[in-house]
Amino acid sequence: MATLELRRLRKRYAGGAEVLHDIELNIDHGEMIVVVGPSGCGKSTLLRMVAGLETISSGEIVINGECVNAQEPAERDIAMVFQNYALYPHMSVFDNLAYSLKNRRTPKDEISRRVNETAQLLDIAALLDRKPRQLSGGQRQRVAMGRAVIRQPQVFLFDEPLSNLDASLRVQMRQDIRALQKRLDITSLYVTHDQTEAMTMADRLVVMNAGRIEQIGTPMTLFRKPATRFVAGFIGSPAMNFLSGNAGDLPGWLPRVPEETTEPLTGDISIGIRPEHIALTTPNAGQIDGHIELVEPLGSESLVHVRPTGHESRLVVRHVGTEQPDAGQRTGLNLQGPFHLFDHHGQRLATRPRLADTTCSMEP
Amino acid sequence: MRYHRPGLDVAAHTLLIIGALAFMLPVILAVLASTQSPGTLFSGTLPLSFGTSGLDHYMTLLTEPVRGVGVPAWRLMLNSLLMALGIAVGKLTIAMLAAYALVFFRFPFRRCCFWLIFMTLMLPIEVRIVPTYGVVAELGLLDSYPGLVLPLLASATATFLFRQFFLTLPPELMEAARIDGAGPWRFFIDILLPLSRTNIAALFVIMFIYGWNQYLWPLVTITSADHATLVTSLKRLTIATDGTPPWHLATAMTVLALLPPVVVIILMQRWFIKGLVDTEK
Repeated sequence: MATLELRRLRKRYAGGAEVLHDIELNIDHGEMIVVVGPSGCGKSTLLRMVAGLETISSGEIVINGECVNAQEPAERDIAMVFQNYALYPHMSVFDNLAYSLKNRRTPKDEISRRVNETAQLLDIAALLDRKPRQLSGGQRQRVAMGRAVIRQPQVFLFDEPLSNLDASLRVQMRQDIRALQKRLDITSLYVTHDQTEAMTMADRLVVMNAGRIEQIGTPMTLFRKPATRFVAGFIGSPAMNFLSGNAGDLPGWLPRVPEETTEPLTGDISIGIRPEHIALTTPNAGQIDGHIELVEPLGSESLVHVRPTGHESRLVVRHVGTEQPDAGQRTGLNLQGPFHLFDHHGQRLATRPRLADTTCSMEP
Repeated sequence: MRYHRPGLDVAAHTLLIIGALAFMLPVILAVLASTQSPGTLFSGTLPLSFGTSGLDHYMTLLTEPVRGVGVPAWRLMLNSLLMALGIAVGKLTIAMLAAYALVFFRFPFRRCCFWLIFMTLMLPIEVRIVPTYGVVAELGLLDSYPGLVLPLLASATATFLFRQFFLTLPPELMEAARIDGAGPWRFFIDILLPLSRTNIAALFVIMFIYGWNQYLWPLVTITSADHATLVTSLKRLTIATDGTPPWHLATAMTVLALLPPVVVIILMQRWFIKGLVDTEK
């Protein structure tokens, strides 16, 4: 049980490039925090700094109220699961699990007791005599988890642990990791670039971009009220549609957008709308008509790419149902909202609470 | 890879057999000659069968002081063995530690160190023999085992090979070990050393033979019979100050000189195969 605090954490490389700017994050006992962001956003660097594998340029890392900046990785009482698992290739699974205990001079009988316990927990008891190369990807992943679990550390660190697994195994493992983390109640920091993984596993989600935290919140908060245009585009799949334009010169067919915000609209703004908040309708029955350019069937739904007449950008529409429209067809679009408004810095503009089932009238 | 072309098989085997014979013939001749009586050897033609003397010449060499040297051949073999082992073990130890530092540690002038080590490849013992002799003399190590081994210890080749091998290991391995509470030495002993097993075996063979075959440096530094090595003594044996060289003894001693490297290769070969069969990683 531990809390983890990051205080104004910065990372600057010798060449002068600053990759992390003033990271502030407080993690509670037993909380699972998922850090998500595109590659190169600094999320792995952040994790490695917490682990003690990267130096800290300024700021503090505090575990349980104690600043650990000067401590070696082994002294911080953390455990890390690596993307490539980093199992010791010449050691059996048993020895891999036991290694950290051996280095801490744990008595032999306790080592074997804890290895067996951990192996039971992770369902790898039958593999203890094998070498890592004799294991499948999923089994290796479990061993890597076991190596982290066995010491019962204060903090778990996960560095994209599922990205080397195939899709179905990934779904399985993310449930398993989540269940295990809840069961052991260990404070966790989990880094991934996969927003589905992030959404499904996190108690709270941290979205990072270019070395800064864009937003911290529960997955649904971030989904419903993204604080920046970046978060809006990153969370949710398929990604949110954006229409940009000058506030004074918005396309007439956009329904009542200016009325949604409580702030004065000036300059360039972006209007975001999620694919599930646009409906296909018959031509001339929506706010605007368009051409269907591409249909991606996903089974129970299809993603329909529509180019509104007279516009450059395409809109993606989530069309539920097994019957799919044909590409090339004309269609009407019914933009239902909610809309997300962002100023030219990408910051969210406050919106009025929406009245229930506001119907959007067609502009004349 | 295997092609089903009988012609290719025949050609390949012919080449292999010719190659093997070219290597084996001198050895076979030496073995045969070492069993002939001195008289037969001096007749000028070497019979292609075992002679009548059997192992007599070997017994002579191993029990009586070798002519021109003064100690029996077993002593010479022991000296050579100590030198070869010292060089092989020392070279491997130093090279591994140097490569470990170069790959896993960040320190100022790391690249510079690497290039300095690499450049010593261009300076074999023959080139630096005069200053080396001076240094060893200053240290008072002339005509001793340490003096024999020390100047031959550093190996740029082995350092380079270990460095290349260490670079192939994922850096997460060291990070995982650090988190698991292994310090630099523990990591070296528990992780790097076992992973380098096959490399160590291969380099040990090469370095042992390199050490065993050393000629110039022992010739220069060793003056007493107590520290003489087998290979340099072979030359002394054949210096014919009074009449003809004892070829029967010289060929026998050549065969003796062959044995330890052969034993090392045979022993280490099993390691190679083991390393090849259960490939790590």
